[in-house]
Amino acid sequence: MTAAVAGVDAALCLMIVVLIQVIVVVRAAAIRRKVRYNRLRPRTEAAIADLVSGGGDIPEPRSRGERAVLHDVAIEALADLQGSERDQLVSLLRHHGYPAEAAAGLRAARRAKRRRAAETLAAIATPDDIPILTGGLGDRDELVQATCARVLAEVGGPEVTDAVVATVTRTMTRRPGAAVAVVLAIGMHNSPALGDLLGPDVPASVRATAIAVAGQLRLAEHAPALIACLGDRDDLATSAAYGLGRIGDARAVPELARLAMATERALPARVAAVKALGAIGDPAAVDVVRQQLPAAEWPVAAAAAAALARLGEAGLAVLRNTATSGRPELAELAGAALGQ
Amino acid sequence: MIFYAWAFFAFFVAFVALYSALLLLSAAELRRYAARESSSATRLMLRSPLAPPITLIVPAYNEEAGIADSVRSLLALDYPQLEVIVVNDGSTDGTLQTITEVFGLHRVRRPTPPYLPHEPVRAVYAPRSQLRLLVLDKDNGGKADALNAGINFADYPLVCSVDADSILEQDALTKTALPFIEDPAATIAVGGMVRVANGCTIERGRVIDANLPHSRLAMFQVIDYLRALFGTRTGWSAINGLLIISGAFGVFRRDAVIAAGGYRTDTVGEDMELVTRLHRTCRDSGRRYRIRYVVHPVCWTEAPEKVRDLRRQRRRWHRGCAESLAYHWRMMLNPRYRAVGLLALPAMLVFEVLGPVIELSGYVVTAIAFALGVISIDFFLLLLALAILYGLILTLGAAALEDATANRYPAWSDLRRILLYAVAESLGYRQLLHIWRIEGFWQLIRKREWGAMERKGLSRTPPVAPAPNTPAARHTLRHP
Repeated sequence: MTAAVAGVDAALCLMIVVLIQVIVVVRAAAIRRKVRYNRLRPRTEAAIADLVSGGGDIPEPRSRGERAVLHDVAIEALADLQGSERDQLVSLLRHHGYPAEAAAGLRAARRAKRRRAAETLAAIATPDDIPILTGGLGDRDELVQATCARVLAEVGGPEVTDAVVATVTRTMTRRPGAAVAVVLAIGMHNSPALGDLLGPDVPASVRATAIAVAGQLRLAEHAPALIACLGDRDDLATSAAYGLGRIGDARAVPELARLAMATERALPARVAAVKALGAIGDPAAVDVVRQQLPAAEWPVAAAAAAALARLGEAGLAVLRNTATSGRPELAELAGAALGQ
Repeated sequence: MIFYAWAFFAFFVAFVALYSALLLLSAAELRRYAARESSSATRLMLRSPLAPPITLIVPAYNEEAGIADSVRSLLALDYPQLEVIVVNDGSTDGTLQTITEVFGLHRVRRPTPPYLPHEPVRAVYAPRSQLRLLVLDKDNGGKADALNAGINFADYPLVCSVDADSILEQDALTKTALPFIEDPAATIAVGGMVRVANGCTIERGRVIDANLPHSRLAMFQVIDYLRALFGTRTGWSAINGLLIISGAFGVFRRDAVIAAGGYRTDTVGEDMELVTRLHRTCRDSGRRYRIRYVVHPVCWTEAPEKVRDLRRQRRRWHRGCAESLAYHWRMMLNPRYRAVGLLALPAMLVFEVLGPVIELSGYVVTAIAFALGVISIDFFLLLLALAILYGLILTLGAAALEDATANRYPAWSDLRRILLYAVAESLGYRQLLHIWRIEGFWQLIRKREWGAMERKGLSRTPPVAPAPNTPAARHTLRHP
């Protein structure tokens, strides 16, 4: 028994020695890398600043280290640059062969390398890269697919819309965050295509995202589709109501009023509808919203008071009456809404 | 004796197997996280209107000295949409007056939403400017009660509890929001990394230079935090079995917290209890959910430097842990609750709540066996070495993960100190903690109250230490 425990102790000691050595070696390598990186970085940053201000050029990097630093600093800078400054930096990176390198990386066996290549293309892609990016949609990694789809949504035309939409549907289950970013890119760069994701035959998770994007980006062209969603599942109706409030389309008022009055619907959907009626600001909604003020559910009543304050003089009059003659809890809500 | 030896052996083997597995899971999770964090999709989302807005809730009890700096630094955090709600929980100093004066607040009429119960709100204050700040002045009810009030008044879908005397890094919220962006439908809570601020250089509510503490006691706690956060919590997060999100810094979906009933006010471990209840309510309702822990968002907090304060803190944590298990004992070994019911809760019971008793009794029984001549001195020392060496491996594994991901202590001298304290903690410190934890368990049975930790203060502005044996006790001691 003693020998067995001694053996285990010896093995643990060996593991500790190995672990300490690993930590020391990895740390030493990291420090060396950091020192080299910190030496090159300021020079590269200054060169990029000169370039975008129109005062200089950056020669082709001589070593892999220099190339990597230029890549990282440029990608970071591109996130904050726009217009001609951005174009200048992108053309420099293209001149130094980064897109070709990324295209080759997209065919690599290692997933990390393919992801990095897709990220590079996401920063510097132009319509010239559409064939490479379209190839990336067939990658076995969902993150690579979604990144390529997002870039295609930004730089591609109508010819790639179907492929991008299909990628969203394919990646939404396992990579919802990346897929949401693709939908956002569609909304920002190719908003008519968002309509393809708002139809009733689209999976609910994709549709929910498209509704949220249409609302957050205030895409008025999709207001009819959002109005149609008000009769759908409660979560979709909630999101659609919120979006319609942001868009401010008065055509939505009758449907929103119907949703607000539907006591069988989920509370968040009714609250969103009442808030949307206030946000749209159409005085025609005063009567419906007034009826929600004495609602048994506090969130509906509070939303109604806040909405009435945004519905012009008629809404304010209702609040004034309630503040003086209503039930105490309603008077409190009305008074607070008037105060705000 | 033989039976005890085998039981202890089984305990040790189970401990080694579980914590080694958690360490490996942590490594895999950290690798996955690093790949996701660098994604441009995430950056795009965080700059877009789809970034989930966050309400920061700051419970404050007698925080007059530091509250203005704290709120200022929170309002300046790098996040697209955030609001700050300070809940003045019946402070007896000038906390309310300071904050209303500094930010030019005036009293507003705001009805109290009825979602979660809490002590009455006496008044609500808001700025005349567009500043997203709200101050609730309420009767004293403790930290959990103050958080419930803050959740009621929150406007945004995510709420983040932050201690008034903790410091968040500029990008802490951005990084904590990442799991909510990756899987918006399922993610309901995210815990962030809490680090020991003792020894750091802090100016105007920001950590300027991160260093290891000078105090030996605080240094031991750095080792504790490293092992708990990198070695264990990340691993539990990987299998959706995380039970603790620090009360000092955690982000929750507001609707999920309200649906679960908010923070319990009758326990000292309200943070762990809430997370366990979230697991329970989600599983009971059949909802798909994730509770995550991410190591990069950093919240700096002051660790106790006095033995008396540390003892009080650990007794309190242990009591909170045991209370939480008692509230949710029906989840234990219940397959409906998956990793939480089958692994996390039993592990919490065996290794955390009963572990101190088992380990200390192991020392005693081994010593008795040695005295009776049942085992030799060699065997006794080898057993002791076994426990120390395995503890060291866990700490080194966690340190290696910290090195490879965050690397907040990059100097060689830092590594030397971490290694030194990792060895030294097994020679007295750990045993002392076990004794305090057993005391905590004993006090749970006797239901005794605790005092407050004496703080040196993180800011260069000298803080006012809370008086002991006052309601401040419920605001000062929390999990890492």
